[in-house]
Amino acid sequence: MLRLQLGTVDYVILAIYFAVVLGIGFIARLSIKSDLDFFLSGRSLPAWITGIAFIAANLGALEILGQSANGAQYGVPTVHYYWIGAVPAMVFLGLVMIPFYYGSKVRSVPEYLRLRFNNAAHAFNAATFAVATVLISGVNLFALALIIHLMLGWSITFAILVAAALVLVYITLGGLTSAIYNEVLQFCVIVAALLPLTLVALHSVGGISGLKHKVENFKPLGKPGLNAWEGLAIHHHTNPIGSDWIGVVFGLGFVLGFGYWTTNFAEVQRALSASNLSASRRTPLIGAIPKLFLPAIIILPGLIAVVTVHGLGGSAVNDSYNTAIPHLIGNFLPEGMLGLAVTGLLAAFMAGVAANVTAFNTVVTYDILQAYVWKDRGPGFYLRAGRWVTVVGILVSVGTAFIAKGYSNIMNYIQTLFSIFNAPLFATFIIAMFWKRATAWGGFWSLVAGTAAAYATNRLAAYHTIFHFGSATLDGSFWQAIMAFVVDAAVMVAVSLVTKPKPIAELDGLVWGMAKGDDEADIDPRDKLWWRSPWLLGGGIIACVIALNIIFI
Amino acid sequence: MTEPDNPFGVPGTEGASASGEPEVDEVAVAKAANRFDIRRLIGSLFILYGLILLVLGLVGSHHVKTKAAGINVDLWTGLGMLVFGALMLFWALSRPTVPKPEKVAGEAPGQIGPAPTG
Repeated sequence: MLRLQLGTVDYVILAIYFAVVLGIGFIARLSIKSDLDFFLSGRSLPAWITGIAFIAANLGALEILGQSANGAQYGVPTVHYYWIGAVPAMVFLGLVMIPFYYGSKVRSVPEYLRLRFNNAAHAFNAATFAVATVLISGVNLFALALIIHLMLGWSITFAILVAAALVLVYITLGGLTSAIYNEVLQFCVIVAALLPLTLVALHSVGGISGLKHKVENFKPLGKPGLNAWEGLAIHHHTNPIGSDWIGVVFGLGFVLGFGYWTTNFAEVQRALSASNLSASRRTPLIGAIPKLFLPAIIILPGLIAVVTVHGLGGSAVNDSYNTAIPHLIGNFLPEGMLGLAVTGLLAAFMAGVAANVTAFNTVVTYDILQAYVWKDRGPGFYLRAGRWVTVVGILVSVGTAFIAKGYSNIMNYIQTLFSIFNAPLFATFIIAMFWKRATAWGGFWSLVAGTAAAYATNRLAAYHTIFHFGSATLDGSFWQAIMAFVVDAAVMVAVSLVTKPKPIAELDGLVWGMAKGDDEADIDPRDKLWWRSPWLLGGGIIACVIALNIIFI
Repeated sequence: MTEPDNPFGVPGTEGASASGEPEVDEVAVAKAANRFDIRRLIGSLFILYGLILLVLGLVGSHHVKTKAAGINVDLWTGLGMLVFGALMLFWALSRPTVPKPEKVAGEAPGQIGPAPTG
């Protein structure tokens, strides 16, 4: 039985949290004077705040429920999402790509494409990003409503509307500052809830050794469920994910992981709101540190749930793998902790919606409305426009939440969206940043072709006419991403060779070897301390991720 | 409904930033920035939650104390949250936020620029 019985104290804990969230919105409103304050927090936040916000923006319903579900279904190999897919990409973003984003003073990812290529590439990317973001925020909203429905018994429609209304209030009031503050607060609360839950659940199965014993004897998983790198040989994959090492390393790691973490504006926006270039570079690096250890409170509970919750992984909504963590909450947490855990989950899911909506309002206002519809208006105009775009974005998300409701497996739906929208963008970016010869029209046509290739692969795979990805669809999304990347890169090179390159003078600060440094006046002397060096931080994180991969090999 | 226990500020901070004699305006700005310091927000919220959990862990029913595989999870989490909250407040009070001087309008990065051409 999944339905949770909340006591009075649980509701008090929940009510306190929402009062604080709304309070943050009202206070943040007082400090907003310009559109830049609203969209990029006035570029004033310290690195540890933007760093936590950077991973918290991703720690929504899909991450918590989806990755614990993967932990339950696939076991330890799920760590590839973290240690191959996310952390190396975050280090790459901080060390290599942020200097281009922050140094060129762009306000959004599409804006970089406008400077590096042309208006066509800019408009195409802004439009596809806006569409992708409202689709993804709809999925988040639906997942949030589903969990409220299962745990508290509210109707799904009512839950969608309540959640949307709350997000609407605190973003229209406080803009990105409000969203980021709530992300940091949410991150602390969800860790405070999941860490004790994991420890208690682990204790109940007899600690690490007891869990290992149980998983080895558990039929669908067995020993491969405990090792990250077992059974990944090409043509002989026996790994529970159903992929080989090319799919994992190149598809998940290089294309999907790098594509998501380095070009998705919902993430990059957090780094752009940091107070200077050094803080901006440290944002994804600081975020990578907790990301290294998140599997311990997300994948591990999933693994414990699958060996302790009878019937988990069934076909009914109440016992699908997605309910691994809610089941553990219901089984172990008494009044008090129960309220804290429910608060943490709801807060995390709302933050996921808010992250998408704040990215959406920035791109629509700056990259579509200001660039092509209402040019040359005052800052006050764009601030008001941003607030209205937020309202529209949330209303559309409510609509797309009902689209997501029609999909039986929302994780596959989201992976499909990522491989269509993020994978080609990453190919275009990586070439744009490292190859001076890449031309404006090369940029545009590579985006169009890459997006089309991902979509076509998805359709072909759906009918199993040409491509056979094995039984697991996760592998499908890896290969779809690889296809998008290869087609995108090929078109970029081909078109660039037959069109005229941009004059070198226009590429200042946009291409590798020509990145601008920080303005002297902006450099904080404390950033010269050795422990604030991005390269040292990044190198240390990579050493940790290699060590973790070896430990769990 | 229970209101949060003054989550946006902590007592005893008035005048903490007023060493020397800065202009009144600067003091007001610093005070506002510190009231909105997220370390204070997190610290206050965690202390409040920690107290609630601690009390439940001490006076709760047998069921509350033993539901989590025999561990009094409210008690231990409450203690942990109190310690974390106290550390956050200590950090915020010992190293208060110093707001940067405002940049001259038009020179700050990312101001509204001209619409794109070409």
